[in-house]
Amino acid sequence: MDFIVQGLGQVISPFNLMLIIGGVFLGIVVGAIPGLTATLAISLLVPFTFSMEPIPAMVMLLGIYCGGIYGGSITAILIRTPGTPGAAATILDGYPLGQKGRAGEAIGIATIASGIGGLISTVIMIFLSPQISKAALSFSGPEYFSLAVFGLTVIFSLSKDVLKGLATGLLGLLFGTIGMDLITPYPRFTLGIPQLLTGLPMLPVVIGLFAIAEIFRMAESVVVENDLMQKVGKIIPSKDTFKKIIGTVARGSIIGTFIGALPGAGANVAAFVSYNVAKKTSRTPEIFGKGAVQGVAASESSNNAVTGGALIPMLTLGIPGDAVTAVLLGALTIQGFQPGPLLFRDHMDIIYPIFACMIIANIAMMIIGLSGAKFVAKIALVKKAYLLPAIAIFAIIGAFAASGNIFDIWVALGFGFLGYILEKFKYDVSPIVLAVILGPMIEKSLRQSLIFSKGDPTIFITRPISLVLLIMAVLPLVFSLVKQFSKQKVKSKVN
Amino acid sequence: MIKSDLISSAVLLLFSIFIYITSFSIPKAEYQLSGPAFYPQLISVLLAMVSIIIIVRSYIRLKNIKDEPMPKINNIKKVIITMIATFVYVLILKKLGFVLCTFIYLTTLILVMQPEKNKIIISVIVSSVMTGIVYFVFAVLFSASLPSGTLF
Repeated sequence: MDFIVQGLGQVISPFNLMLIIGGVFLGIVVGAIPGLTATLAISLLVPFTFSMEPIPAMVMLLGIYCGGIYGGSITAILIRTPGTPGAAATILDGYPLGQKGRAGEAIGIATIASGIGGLISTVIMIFLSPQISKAALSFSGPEYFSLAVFGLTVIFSLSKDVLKGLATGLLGLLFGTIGMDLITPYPRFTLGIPQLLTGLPMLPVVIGLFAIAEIFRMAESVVVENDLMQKVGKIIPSKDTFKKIIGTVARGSIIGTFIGALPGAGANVAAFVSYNVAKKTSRTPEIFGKGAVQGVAASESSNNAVTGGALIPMLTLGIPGDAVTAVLLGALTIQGFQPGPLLFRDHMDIIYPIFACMIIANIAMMIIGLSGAKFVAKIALVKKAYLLPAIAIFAIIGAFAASGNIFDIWVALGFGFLGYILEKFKYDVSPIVLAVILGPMIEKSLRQSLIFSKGDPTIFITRPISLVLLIMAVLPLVFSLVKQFSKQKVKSKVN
Repeated sequence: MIKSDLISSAVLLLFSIFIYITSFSIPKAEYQLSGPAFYPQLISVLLAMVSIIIIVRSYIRLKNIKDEPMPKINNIKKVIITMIATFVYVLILKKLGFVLCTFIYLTTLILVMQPEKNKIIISVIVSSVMTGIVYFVFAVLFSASLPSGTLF
C-alpha cells in the first residue's frame, strides 16, 4: 500500500487539492446542466492544461471527470431532466422521491452512492491495472492492431445503428490519415495547408464535435426554460436508509466498474444494468419506479463506478473505452506520457498520483454534494441565453489556446458544423473521436506487421492473442448486425 | 429518417470514392502493402461498402414502410445567426483584437438568444462582464495566449 501513500504525498499540496476540489465542483455544475457533459467540460479545459505541470493538470481533469458523472443526478432528481445521459436511470426513482417531498434525501443517497461507487472502482483499478499492463508488455504490432480494432468495433456495435456507427468510425479513421505519413516521408490529404502536415489537431476536432456542435443544438431549443424545480429539504439520509441501500451500492459499484472497463459501454449502460439487477434481486420489486431509495442508489453507484473502470483500459493498454477517456488520453499524451503497458513500467510517477487523485476526488465529491447540492442546482438552472454564448467563447478560446493558431479555430468550426449535421442525420459522433485518436496506432501496427510478415495478412490470425482479440472484435459486431436485421424483418412483417 | 439515410449514405459513398481516387496521387513506396496510400485506400473501400449497405437497407425499408420526414431544424433563424456570428467572429478576431470582438460577439449572441425582446441594456452589461471574466481567467489565471489584434 505504500505506493498509494507515496502518491498521496505527491498529490497533497494546497495547490493540487485546490485544483481537485475546483475540478470536482466545476464537473458537478457542468454535469448538472442538462445538455452539458463531462466530456464537453474536459475537452474545453484540456487546452489550458498545456502550460501546467503534468500532475496538477491531470488531477484537475480527473476531478471534473468524477464530478461530471455525478452532477447529472441533481437535475435528474430535481427537474426530471438528466444532466448527463448516465443519470437517466436515476430519474426512475429519484423524481418520484422528490414528489413525495424527499428530494433532498434522494440527492443525499445519490451523492453517497456515487462517492462509494467511485471509491470502490478506484480500488479495483489500483489492483487490476498493474496486472493487466504486465500481461500487455508482451504485445507487439499484430496484438496492438487487433486490440485497437477491438476497441473500435465495440463502440460501433453499441451505437444505436451499427452501420451508421461503422460509417462514422471509418470516416474518423480517414480523418486520422491526414498529415505526414507515419513511415514514409510523404504528406497525405493535406490540401497544401502547411498546418495539416502534422495531422488534424486533435483538440480542436474534439472541441468542434462536442462543444461547437452543442451550441448550434442549444440555439434550437433556447426558448424552453425549465423551472419545475422541487424543494430540496433535508439532504443527509437517515441511518435506516443507509442500511437499506448499502448492499445495493456495493453490487452497483462492482457492476459499474466492470461495465466501465469494457470499451464502448458507458455510464448510462452501467446505470440501467445495475438498476435492473437491483430490481430483480429485490424482495420488493414493486416499489421500484415509485420512489425506491435502492433504485437511486443502484443507478448512481454504478454510473460513478464507471470512472475507475474506464480508466483501466485507457491507462494500461492505451485504448480509451469512451469519448471522455479518449480526451483524457489525449491530455496525458500532450503532457508527454503515452498511455499503455510501458507507462506502468516507466512512469509510475504519474500513475500513483492519478490513483491518489481519484480517491481524493471521490471524497471531495461527497462533501461538496452533501453540503452544496442546493447551490449547484441553482447554478444549473442558469438561462440558456447566457450559457450558450459562454460555452461558445470558451470553445473558441480553447481551440485557439492549444497551439496559438487561428487555423485551429477554423478546424473546430468545421468539425462543429460536421458534428451538427451528422447528429441531424442521426449519426453518432463519438466513433469519430475514438477513430481519430486510435487511427494512427491502427495504421502503424497494421503496416508494421505487414512489413514484418512480408505482406502476409495471416500474421493477425496465427498469433494466438491477436486471434482471440480479433474474434472478440468481430463477434459483437456480427451479433448486433444480425439482431438489427432480424428486428427489421419482424417490423416489416408487422407493417 | 429513411430518405435522409439515403442522402447521407450517398454523400459518404461519394466521399469514399473521392478519397480512393485522390490517394493514387500519393507517391508509391517499394512494397505496395506498406506504402502510404495502402491504408487510406483500404479504409475508403470499407467505407464505400458500408455506405452501399446503408443505401440498400434504406431502399428496402422505403418499399415496406411509409417514409418519415426529413431532419428538421427548430428555430432555424437562431441557428443560422449563431453560425454566421461565430464565423464572422473568427474572421475579424485577428484584425480587431480579442476584447472588442468578444464583446460584440457575446452581445449579439445574448440578444439573439433572449426569449424576451428589447433587453439591449442587460445584454450589454452581461456581455461586458463576461468578456472581463473570460479575459481575466484566460490571460491572467491560465496565462493562455489570446488572439491579439492590431487594435487592442
